[in-house]
Amino acid sequence: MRRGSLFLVRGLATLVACGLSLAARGARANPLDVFGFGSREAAMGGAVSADVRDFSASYYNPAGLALAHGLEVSVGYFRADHALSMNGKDGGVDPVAGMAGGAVVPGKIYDFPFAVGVGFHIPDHWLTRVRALPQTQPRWELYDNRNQRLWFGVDGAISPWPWLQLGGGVTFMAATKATLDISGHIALFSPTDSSLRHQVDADLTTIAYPAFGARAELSRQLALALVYRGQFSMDLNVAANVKAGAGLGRAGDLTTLTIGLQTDTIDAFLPQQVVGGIAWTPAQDLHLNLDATWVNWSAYVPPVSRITTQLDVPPPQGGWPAGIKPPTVPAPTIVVPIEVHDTVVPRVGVEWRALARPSWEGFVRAGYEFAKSPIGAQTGSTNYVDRDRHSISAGLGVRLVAPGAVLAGDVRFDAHAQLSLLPTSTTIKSDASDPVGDYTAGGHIWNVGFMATVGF
Amino acid sequence: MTRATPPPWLLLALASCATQGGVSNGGVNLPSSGVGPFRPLVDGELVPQAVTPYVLGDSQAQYREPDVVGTSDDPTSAAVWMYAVATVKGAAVVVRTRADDARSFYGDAADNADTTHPRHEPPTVLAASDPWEGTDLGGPCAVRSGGQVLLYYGAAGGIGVAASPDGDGLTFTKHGAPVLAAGGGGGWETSAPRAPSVAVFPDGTWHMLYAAGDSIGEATSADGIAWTRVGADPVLGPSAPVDPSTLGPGEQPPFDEGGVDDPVIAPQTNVDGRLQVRVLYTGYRDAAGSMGSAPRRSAIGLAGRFGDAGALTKQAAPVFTVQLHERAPGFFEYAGGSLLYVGEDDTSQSTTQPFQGIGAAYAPVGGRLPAPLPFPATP
Repeated sequence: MRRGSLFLVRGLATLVACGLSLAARGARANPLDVFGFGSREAAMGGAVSADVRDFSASYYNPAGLALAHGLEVSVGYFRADHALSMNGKDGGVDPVAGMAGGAVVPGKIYDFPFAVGVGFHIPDHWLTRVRALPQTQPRWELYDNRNQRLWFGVDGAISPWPWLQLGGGVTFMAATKATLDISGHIALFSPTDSSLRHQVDADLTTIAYPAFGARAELSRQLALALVYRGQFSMDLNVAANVKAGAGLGRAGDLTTLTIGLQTDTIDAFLPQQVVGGIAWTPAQDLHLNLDATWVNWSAYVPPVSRITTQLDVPPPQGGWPAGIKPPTVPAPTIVVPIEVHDTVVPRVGVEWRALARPSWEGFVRAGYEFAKSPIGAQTGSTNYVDRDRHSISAGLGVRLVAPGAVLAGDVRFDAHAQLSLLPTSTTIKSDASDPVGDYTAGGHIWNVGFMATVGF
Repeated sequence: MTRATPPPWLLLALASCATQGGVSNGGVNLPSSGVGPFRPLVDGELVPQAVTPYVLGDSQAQYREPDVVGTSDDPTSAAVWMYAVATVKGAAVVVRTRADDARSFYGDAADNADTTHPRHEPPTVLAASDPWEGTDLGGPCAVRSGGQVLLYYGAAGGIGVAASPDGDGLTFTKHGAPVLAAGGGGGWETSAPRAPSVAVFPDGTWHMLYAAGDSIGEATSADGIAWTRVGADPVLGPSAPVDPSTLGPGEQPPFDEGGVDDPVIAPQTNVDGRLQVRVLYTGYRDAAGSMGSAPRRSAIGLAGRFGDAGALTKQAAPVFTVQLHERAPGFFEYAGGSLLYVGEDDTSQSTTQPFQGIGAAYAPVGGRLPAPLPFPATP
């Protein structure tokens, strides 16, 4: 390739990658933020933004895909069980479990290493879950509902220079819009005599969010990474329209009831993030990584429904019968602003190739993450319960080198276990007439999983 | 080097193994002050013959102003006594009934629907007899202490007390003079003290909340007999009236701008060791006398304070409202949840001509009471 063309391709690649980053409004879903993506990465505390090259780069740093040596397919499973309690009683927060995996397909554009990666997390129980609770109801805000959703990402990366990798991608999520129409007859004092017809029209609309990452290799021992993950919100908008005759029995409408109900909810909101990472390889068998993630939690929007109601119930001729009081329009929801703060989440990880044989290698990994709670003290009427989280993790890995004639690449098996500790502390209310009152909250989360990767 | 590719069916098969559905959990064992919000009892929580949510009704007796106390100190037991006001021979008296599940009360209309036994009538345990009491008694409040039962009540001349020394809660001896007499309070006491509610705090001090005029005051005692009013001001008053023209769509004026009444005091020590004084009360939308002979609109509110002294703060929204003139709450808390008893319009026989009866509600609203027990054979 001529030098001019080479420069042009490098420049275009850089511009496209930077354009993606500027256009990015959102990036990643929630379960991966808390529990990691891939056993190697989870075992290292998620501190891999400058040291990732497999399918999990779709989440940690798309630029790492450009480091892939060959086609790889990974499949695994993880399960996180919550033991989160309030006042010493388990809150029944559902586990997060499901398959995780992906593939990396490397190639070249002209002479530049290029790769496409896909990653997925498919939950066991729900592809997504909607839960909009009253703002006064205690709930584990960051663990109860946010992590129950599907995640799917498609990314591409290029290495315009040997020391630089740039990557970007798109993450797919879904938002919901629905309309519910009800018509018929309502028997005010005998609900079983009502005859109603309903029609539901619901759409799951796709939301696609780009992401961007960069990795710079300063030397064989030192690499830096910078990743941007933008904010996104999953909206849930439901409109219900009721137009029905209302009476005392099966027949004889007293009046016609018309109700319009519109609820608008941010079902899940992920704030934008910026990750800076360092990967240091002081020896051939040792990787030491450090990541720091700035999370713009102050922009967080809690999942509280905003309900708008329109009601039209004209009185019947002669007025309302004795004992019947027409319904009135409920007051609109007053959302109490949530107090949240930006946080910086430090992560450290280490990987040691403990055994190196001609046909196989063995790895030992460990990591730590500290996620300070972004949510302010819940002294008022709201109860967005959260606590600081310390996560310690460990894992093992085995790599079989060219295990058979069919597989010229390698086969890797990785497993991890992570324990997150949320120290118990007391939420103290300022109002003695608070219906919830003071309470303690804390607990722990176990996260275990495994991953198998085949490199072709 | 030849590179093999994985068969597509393998990826599909692996991915399709995952999503299998499940039952959503969460939202259980939530912390609560135990004082609402409440929801009326529903079918299955009362005996089949009963009309929910009424637990004590009789069109002649017009039961009202309930007070409920456990028959023992066992926090898991739902066996209770209920003291309530009834109309007997044209006078307001205090009667006693009993339930083993805090719901199926001896003498309820549903109990007497069973004709295999003689009619059950809750016995009268207190009636006006002293000159200072006038003709009617009201606002009973029972306290079990030291093996005896003290029964406080309101009368024309103030608040009296009677004792059941053997602790059976059926036979009482009156103290004689009022323990909190009319005329001894501050200027806000525009009527005789009424509707007493008494509790013993962790430090051994007796505290009484009582209503007078349109507000609620407090008195303290070392022995439950000799009482001293606290301060010259009420601890809880009606909310300031709001000009309806200033309200937005759907907004309602304060539910208690017409007066507060019928306090129920329920102290507890919180998880952090703080004393929390919880108070349920009747909040009236309309001022006394403003509705003529019609009952005032009302709902049950929640107030409270930390510590053993000071004014109460209150929630803006009621913890129980069914628009049936619910008033004069009673409260019983045990390991299975909290039960609220209120006097309200009993529409079990007629929606247009209700009589006064006692309905029950439960908290937490997402919980459900176990199946009811049979009516007891004795009061």
